[in-house]
Amino acid sequence: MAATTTPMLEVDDLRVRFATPAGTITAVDGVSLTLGERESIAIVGESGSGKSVFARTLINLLAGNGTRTGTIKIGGRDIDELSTAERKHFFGVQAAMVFQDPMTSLNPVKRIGAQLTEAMRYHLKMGKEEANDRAVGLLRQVHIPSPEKRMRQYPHELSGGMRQRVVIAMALACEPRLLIADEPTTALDVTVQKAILDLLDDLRAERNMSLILITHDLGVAEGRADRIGVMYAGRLMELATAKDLFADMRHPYTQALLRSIPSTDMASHTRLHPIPGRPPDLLNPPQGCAFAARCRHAQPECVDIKPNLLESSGDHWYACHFPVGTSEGRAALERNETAGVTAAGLPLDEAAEEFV
Amino acid sequence: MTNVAPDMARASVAAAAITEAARPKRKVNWVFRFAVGWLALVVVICMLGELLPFVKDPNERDAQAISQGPSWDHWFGTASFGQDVFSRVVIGGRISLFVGFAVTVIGIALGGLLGLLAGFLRGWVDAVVRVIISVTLAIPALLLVIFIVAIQGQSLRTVIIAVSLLAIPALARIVRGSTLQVADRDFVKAAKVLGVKKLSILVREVLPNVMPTLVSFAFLTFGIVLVAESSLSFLGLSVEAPTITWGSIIGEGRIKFAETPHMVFLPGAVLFLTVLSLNFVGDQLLKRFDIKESGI
Amino acid sequence: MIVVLIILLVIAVLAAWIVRTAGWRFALQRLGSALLILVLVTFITSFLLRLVGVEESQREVLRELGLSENAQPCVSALGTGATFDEVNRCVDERGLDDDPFTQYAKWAGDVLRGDLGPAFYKSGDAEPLTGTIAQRMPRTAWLFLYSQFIALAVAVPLGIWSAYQAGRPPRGIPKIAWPIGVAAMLIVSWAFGWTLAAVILLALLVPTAIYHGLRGGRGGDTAVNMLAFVLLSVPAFVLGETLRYVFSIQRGWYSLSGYAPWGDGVGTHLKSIWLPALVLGLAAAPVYLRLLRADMIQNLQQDFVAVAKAKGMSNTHILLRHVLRPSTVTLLTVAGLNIAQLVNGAIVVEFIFDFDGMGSYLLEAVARREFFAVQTLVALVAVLFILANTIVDMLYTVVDPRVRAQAPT
Repeated sequence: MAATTTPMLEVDDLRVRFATPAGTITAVDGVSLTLGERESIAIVGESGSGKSVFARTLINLLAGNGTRTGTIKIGGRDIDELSTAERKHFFGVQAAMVFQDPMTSLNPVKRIGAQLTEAMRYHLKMGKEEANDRAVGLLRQVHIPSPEKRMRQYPHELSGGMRQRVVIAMALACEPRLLIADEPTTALDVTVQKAILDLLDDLRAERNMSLILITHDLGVAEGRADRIGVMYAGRLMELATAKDLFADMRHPYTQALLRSIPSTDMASHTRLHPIPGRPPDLLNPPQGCAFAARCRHAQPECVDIKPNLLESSGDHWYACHFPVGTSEGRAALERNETAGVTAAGLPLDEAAEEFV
Repeated sequence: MTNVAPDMARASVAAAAITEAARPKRKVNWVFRFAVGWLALVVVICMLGELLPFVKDPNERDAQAISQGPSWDHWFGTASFGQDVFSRVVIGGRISLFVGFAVTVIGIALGGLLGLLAGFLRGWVDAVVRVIISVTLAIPALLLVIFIVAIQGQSLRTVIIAVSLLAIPALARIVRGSTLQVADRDFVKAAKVLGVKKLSILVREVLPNVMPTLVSFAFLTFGIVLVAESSLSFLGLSVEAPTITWGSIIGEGRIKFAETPHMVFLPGAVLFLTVLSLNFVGDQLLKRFDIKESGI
Repeated sequence: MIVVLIILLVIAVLAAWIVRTAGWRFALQRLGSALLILVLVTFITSFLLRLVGVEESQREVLRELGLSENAQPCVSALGTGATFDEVNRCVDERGLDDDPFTQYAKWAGDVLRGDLGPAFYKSGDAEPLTGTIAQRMPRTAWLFLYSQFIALAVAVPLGIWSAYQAGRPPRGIPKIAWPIGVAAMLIVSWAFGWTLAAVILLALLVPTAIYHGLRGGRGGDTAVNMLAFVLLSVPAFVLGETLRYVFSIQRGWYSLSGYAPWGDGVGTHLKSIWLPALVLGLAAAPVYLRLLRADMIQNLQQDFVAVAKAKGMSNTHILLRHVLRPSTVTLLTVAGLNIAQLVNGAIVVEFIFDFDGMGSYLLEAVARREFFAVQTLVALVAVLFILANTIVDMLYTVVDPRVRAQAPT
């Protein structure tokens, strides 16, 4: 997609581990990803899939007990090879982040204006007046009415949607080229969700930014991102253009995710299919495919050997031994259905599914 | 997809993490053991007193050894008339520890009761208790005790009563806060809805859950009372001579400080270590019971 | 009179401020509870005063002498050498024969008129208490001020620093350092005596903290915590006597020659007060430190800290500009409540250092059985306490704008 220029973001074999009293947790397990300029990608996964840790790691927000291996290049610069001086004005300028909960992501005791301008004054060495003018402009851009008044207000005086707009304006303050949005709409009312997502879309187009949208909601990802990556247990399971992913999904997990969420296209009374079982224990990750225990396609191979993320055709990547829509996949599913149970021991009769 | 699902998932993950952490994988806390050991040692030695071979008569004078520093014969040195300071610390410890113990028990009993009632019944009981608490907080504790002791005379009984007057509101405050929290929990509400008698809710549901706080703060209170009593006797305002307490030994030693510094520092060190141990044990208990200090 | 005027002025300014920031309802509520506490505290002290001589045997003796049976406070204040006339005049002046409410009302009326009564009955010329307070108050006020300054100067930087270190991965020092340190201490105390050892122990703790700071990590937090815990557990009088021994008796850096006012030169003034202020400050510091540290750690886990980090703000900026302010709420509350604690400390410290302030005056009054003076002094402390807490209440609104929206109860 963005082959001609330097990619905005290159992540190679990123692993993040956390030392906890109970043992080491591998939250991100070998993720590789390339994001072109002006491209947007959505990372979808359920809670605990490591998508938020992945996003935070990109912007150097690793908790004290976390360690990272693998390389991250933003705008062609390896973040481990920055000099101290460069590092000081790198995050927040080259890349910025919008967080999940606007209720808590603004400092309750500081005025909106101060929170908006501090990054500009620190990174871009702007004077107070200049930064203030620009902050007002930013607020206007994110469609906040009477921005001059808002500058002097405190976060608790604003509504949730309004606060999220402020958070977005704050992220945009130093004109980042890469914007990471970590579940930007999860904490908001449904009516506000769309407005915020539209705003992000518009801003990306206006400002030629690259966007990483982290979400647990495939519905949010659909139509908002050029590409979609599906994450499970710290690994990328499938990565494809949005169109491909929905029309021609390969990974059983993607399929299961889609089958588990309601959609307006469905006929009424369509039965939803929850994914049986629970995500794997990250303290003792399974040896083979992380999804094997819950997968209808699971074969002995899946339990033993971890599949790699491989490109099949035209930028469609997936990590599965028996992908959906292939003869191997169909054969595997048939074998399991005849046996009534998968190789990982998951019963396949419909009745059992209801009680999971 | 609603927002509830991820929240619930997160909650269950958090719950799993908690049970994980609660498993007995705790390291042996040597400082805690040392603190408990020190307290046990102090209590046992002070209780046994003269029965122990190395404790002499605290008032016996030795003209050969006046104001001497520590030696094999006199572990903590001797006082101005040649009395053995170590024996004085042991015998004096009895009074100090007794006052501490008595006040803690009175404070826990009365303060705990007031706090429980205020926090559980609310209404006018709570209002009255709150006024009592804020009034006593406004009076400097030591001043009040000095005042009472000066009026009522320096007897053991007066000292205990006076210091108790401080401990009661302080503990009432803490227990009230803790009771308010417990009373708001679902199992108490459920018991109320089921029509269980108030008294039996208080005894069966609330009290057991307030107990950890009470026990932890008993140790902290003991330490504070010990300091308060020693300060009083240091100022010469506690139980009158010839009764010995830790504070009075220190107060005596400071008069001719250059000659008898060991009379200040060694009993001072014993007092300090005892208070330190009490504070540490109380603090650790608070941590183990996972009680957040209410700020003060 | 001037004192009362100043107090009234301060109250007026405070009231105006509360009304402006929080509105009338809150102001009235606040004023009401302040007055209630004030009245109750003074009434309790006057009630305590009535306990003097309630025993029947004492009353009997007084009756036989032809005096009022309530005269015991006057007798103890005037001493055995007093004439019957003097005792009767004193009983009259104090209204000891009135019922408790009239007596209290009379006392309160006198105080409001600025007449705090005579300081000491025994000294014959009965210097008015107002004058004594005016003379001694500044000393204790300076002592409080310096001690709070020292306490905050110790607590705030250490609290911020240790909270910051608590969240960083440990990079512990070699374990062997501890036994070596203990062995060194034992050798020093065996060879040179234990006071030096104690000084070295203190001297070791500070460099340890600095060393940890240079290394970074959770160990530094532990070191600061230990220091705070130790300071918290030292009784103020043990700490005071230790420092007096080391700095006054052994080194001679502090002389007990008495208080020197500002007029004698800044150097002389500070020289005459630094050690008692240090003791008071060190007693208060661990309380502040632990509170600040706990609040900072809690606030450092807030989302807005992650946001500020994502904006690329420096750690110093985040700690000082984002986290410090919301973390001072508990600290403020306790600093306000700590006034009573501070008076306790002043009594002990002024006694240790022969410092002629309000604390030693209180002790003196008690020793001379001058209960009238004590009553007035307790009332004074209560006023101070209430004023301080009202100021704290207002500082809340400065620290946390959310408080402004809803008046606290």
